[in-house]
Parts: sequence; structure tokens; C-alpha cells
Amino acid sequence: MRRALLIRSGRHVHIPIALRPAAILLVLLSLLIILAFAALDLGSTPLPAGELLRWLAPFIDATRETDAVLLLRWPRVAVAILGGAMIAASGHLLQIVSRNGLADPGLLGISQGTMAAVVLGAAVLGIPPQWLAPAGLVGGLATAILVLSLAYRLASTTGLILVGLAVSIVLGALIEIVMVQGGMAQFARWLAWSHGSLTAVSAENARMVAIWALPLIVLTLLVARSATPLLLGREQAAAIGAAPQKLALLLTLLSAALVAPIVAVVGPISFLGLIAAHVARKLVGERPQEALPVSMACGALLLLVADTAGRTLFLPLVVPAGILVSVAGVATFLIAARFTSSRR
Amino acid sequence: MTTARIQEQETALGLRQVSFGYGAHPVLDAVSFNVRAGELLAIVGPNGCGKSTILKLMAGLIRPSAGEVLLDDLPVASIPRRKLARRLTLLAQSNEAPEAMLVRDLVGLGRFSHEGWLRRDTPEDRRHIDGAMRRMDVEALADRRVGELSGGQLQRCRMAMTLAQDADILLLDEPTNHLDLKHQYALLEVARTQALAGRAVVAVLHDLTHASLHADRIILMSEGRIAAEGSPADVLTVEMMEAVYGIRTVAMPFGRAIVHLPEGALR
Repeated sequence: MRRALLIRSGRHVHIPIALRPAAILLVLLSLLIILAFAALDLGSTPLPAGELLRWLAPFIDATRETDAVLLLRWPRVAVAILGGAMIAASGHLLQIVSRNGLADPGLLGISQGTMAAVVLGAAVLGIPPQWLAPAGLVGGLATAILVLSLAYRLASTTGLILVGLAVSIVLGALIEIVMVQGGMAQFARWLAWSHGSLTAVSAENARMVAIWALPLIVLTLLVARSATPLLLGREQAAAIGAAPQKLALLLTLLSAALVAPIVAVVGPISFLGLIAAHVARKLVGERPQEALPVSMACGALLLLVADTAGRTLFLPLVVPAGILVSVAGVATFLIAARFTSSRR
Repeated sequence: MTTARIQEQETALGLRQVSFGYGAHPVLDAVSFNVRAGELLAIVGPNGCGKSTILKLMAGLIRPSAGEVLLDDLPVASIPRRKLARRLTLLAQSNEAPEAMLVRDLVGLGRFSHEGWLRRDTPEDRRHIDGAMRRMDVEALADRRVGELSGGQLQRCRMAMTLAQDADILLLDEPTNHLDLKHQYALLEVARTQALAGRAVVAVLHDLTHASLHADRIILMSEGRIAAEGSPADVLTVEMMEAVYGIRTVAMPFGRAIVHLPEGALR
């Protein structure tokens, strides 16, 4: 029997909380706090730890230099943590909906839809920078809805993946056409963004991401439990009392909403949703109420580490976080594949 | 059968002139029958005769193109899934299951429709889960992951999940799939016990011997219609086999069971 902490009150409240997943989550969150602290501290301008603490503490003013340096760093750290969590949640939800362990926000064309809206908005329509993120969000959601309604007619998971891929490829071509139209300098900026980079993240971006992140993350945690039946396939899910069609639609929209603001600000980070969900399932099993929070913590850790490593380890070269995550992703899969095959 | 008699038999679930499918070749054509509490009803017939479609219609997963599937005088497809799941359950044919989930949690999913936002895994839930696992003989697998199970073990765990749901009507779509001889028999015995306890059990079965051995009543389907309905001895005749399956057989009764062997194989 699994050990659990029981929250009980009268006849109507009876919530056992499994101890092992809770402990794992606690360890991951502590690690995240320590690494966030380190990420604020690390960089081309070193900060004494005391200065950092003064800056973090309420009502104590840090020096001007510290303020200036941290004004560049805290938005990156915040976006890395929130963004990592949101991309991981988005990927994990799509994996539940599609019953495909390889599903990723890129799968439904959500990433490409957001990118296309941002690129077209900036280069063709001349939308001011502060409106690019909302425009990207509209693009991502519109693509998700388009892909879903096209796939709805095919009424199968494979159909969903095929339609998603087709739409992604078309949008990818569109993005590249726009990207090669501008000058060299413009192209280089687009290119960095299209690989997922946190270099240009501003405090304004961080606030925008936070405003999106908080309600969406809360909603994700609330629906996690009711998503469980989908793991049995649509028919069996309905038989045990879930409404699979509605649930799948809600979760897909949620996953689009989770990933769109991040793509708009940071660019697409492929593999992150995939690795985080994979690791989470290895750690705490398949039940979404336990796996989703762990997935989010893993995603946050991964993006934070990738971004911090990318801007500190290879100086003067700054490597986009998206590229490091992809490298980490490939490595994870090679190790996982080797581990699995040697065990059998 | 008169209306008065239908009412006497506690008809919980029934099909009224149900058709399904469109165009020249409907899958089901004006099928009517009632499910009775306390009996095991087997639906048999050749491939593609509409057996599984009937179960999906009864479970409200699909809507009839004509006619009605009624549960307590309400169309099943209009009843909210959660509410419906406390009355009726289906063991679907797909054996899709999350690999990293523990068997105990899989069986526990049967309690989904009984749980609330703040109330889950209560002593009552546990009692049903434990009882279902005991009946399906999967207690020893409780802490294993689903991905480690054989096809037969998984099928027994899925049946345990279905039992844990504690619904009065059990719809089983080819429940003996993947099972070895011992567990085929054991599963159908459990299904019988459920019927004896007053539940209604409807099973789509491939194996006519199983149907004859365990069912109280058999519906033999052919090309979307009911070809015969009644006790195993009335339905599983040599004439019916030839008319429906298009094969001449020799019938051998063994106690309750009726075994049909193809005539050609005995020459």
C-alpha cells in the first residue's frame, strides 16, 4: 500500500496525498529555488551574495549597479522558470490528449502558428513590439483551433498528428519566406529567436508572461485529476464517467494558451515538453495529478539551467537556451534508449 | 410478449427499433430488446453483424440514427456521463492503458464517477477496489506497473476496474479476449455471479460454447438484425448455425454447454 497523508473533515472531505510524489516535488522545488538564486548571481558581472540578498529583501535598497545588473537578469530567470513550467505542462497535456508520448506543442502547429503571427505582425503589418506577444497568442490559438477542427473530421489521433504536421510545415515555410525578406541584421535576430532565446527578455515581457502563467498554471493543476480517464482511450474514458470529447477540447485549448505567450516572447523551445513529461512519468508514474506538477517543476529546472548555462559557460559566446535544451533532449533520449534496451 | 410482462421484468435498459448507420447497408436495422436485471445476456453472431455497435449504443457512446436506447425511460446518450457511469459501465475492447500507472490506480479509476473534488479514495472506494481485485484474482499485481503486464493480466485488471465501478448494468465487449482457458472461465463465472447478485450483464461473445455455458439468454445477430433470441438450447441449433454463419455443424451437448463443430472437420 502506498503511504499517504490523509486530509479529512467530516463525510465530505477525504483527500489522501501520496507521500512519495509530494516529497519528489518538494525536492525539485527546493532545487529550483537554489538554482534561481544561482542564476541571479551568475553572469559576466559577478555579484556578491550579500548584495543579491539585499536586493531580494523587501524595504532594503541595493546599490544602483546591482539594480541595473539584476534588471537584466531577473526577467530572464522569471521567464525561464514560468516558461519552462508552461511548456512542460503544455506538452504533457497534449501527450495525454493524443495518447502519444512524443506529443509536443510543435505537434499541433501551435508553436509555428504563434511564430507566424509574430513574424507576419512585425515584418508585414508593422505591429509595435509590445503587441507582438498578444498577436502571437492569437496566432497560436487560431492554429490550434484550425488543426483541431480539421482533425475532428478525421476523428482519430493519427489524423490530429498528421494535420498538425501539415499545418506546421506550411506555416514554417511562410515564416522562412518572411524571414529572408529583411536585411542581414534583421535575419540574425529572427534566427536567434526562432531557436528559442531568452536574451531579449525584458521586465515587461516577464510581467506579461506572469499574468498569463498564474491563472493557467492554477487551472492546469485543477484539471489534472479529471484528465486521468483519457489515458484509457476515449471509449473507456466515457464508460468510467468522463466526457472525453469536451475534456480533450478543453485540454488542447489550455495547452495552446500555455505555450503561446512563451513562443511569442522566447521563441519555440522544442523537446522541453517531451523531456519534462518523460522524466516526470519515470519519477512519479502516470497519474496526471502527480505527474503534471512534477513535469512543470522539471520543465522550469531544465529551461533555467539551459539558459543560465548558455549565457555563462561559453562566454563570450551566448548559446540560445532552445539549442541547449535540444542537445539535452537528444542526450536524454540516447541515454533512455540505451538504458531501456540493456535492461531487456 | 405483452407490455404488461415487460413491465414486470424490471426493464432498466432497452432498445426500441434502433437502427444505426446510413445508406444502403445499415449496421443495425430496427433492433429491439430489453436487458433484464439478474440475467447474463450474451450477444453472438458473425463478424460485422453489429454486436459491438449494440454495446456502444447501449453505453451511449454513439447515438442511433433511428429509434431509441432508453435507460429508465431516458435516452442514454442524453444522460450526463458521470451520472450514467454510476448506473452502467462498459468494458471496451481496446486495451489501451497507461504504461507507467500502477495496477491499483488503474483499478481505482473505476471509482472515477463516485469521486468528488474533495472526496476520493474513501474507505468505501477502497472496499470496492479491493473486492474487485480479489474477484479478478489480481491482488498480487497491485504494485506492478501496467506496462509490465501480459495481455491477459491487463484484461483481468481492466475487468477489475469495471467491477470497481459498482454499476447495476455491465456491458462487456468480448471480455475473454487475451485470456487463457482458466481465466476465460473465471471471468465468465464472475460475470455470472454479478448477474446472480441482481445486476444486468450483457456480454458480446465470440465463443458459442462460452455463451451456451454461461448465458441465461442469447441474442444471435445476423446482418444487423436479430436472427434468434432465447435460451442457449433454443438459439444455438444446427439450423441456425447454417442460416447465420453459413456453415454446417454438428452440435454436441455437454450438460449446459453446446459445442458446435464444423461438419467438414469431422469427416
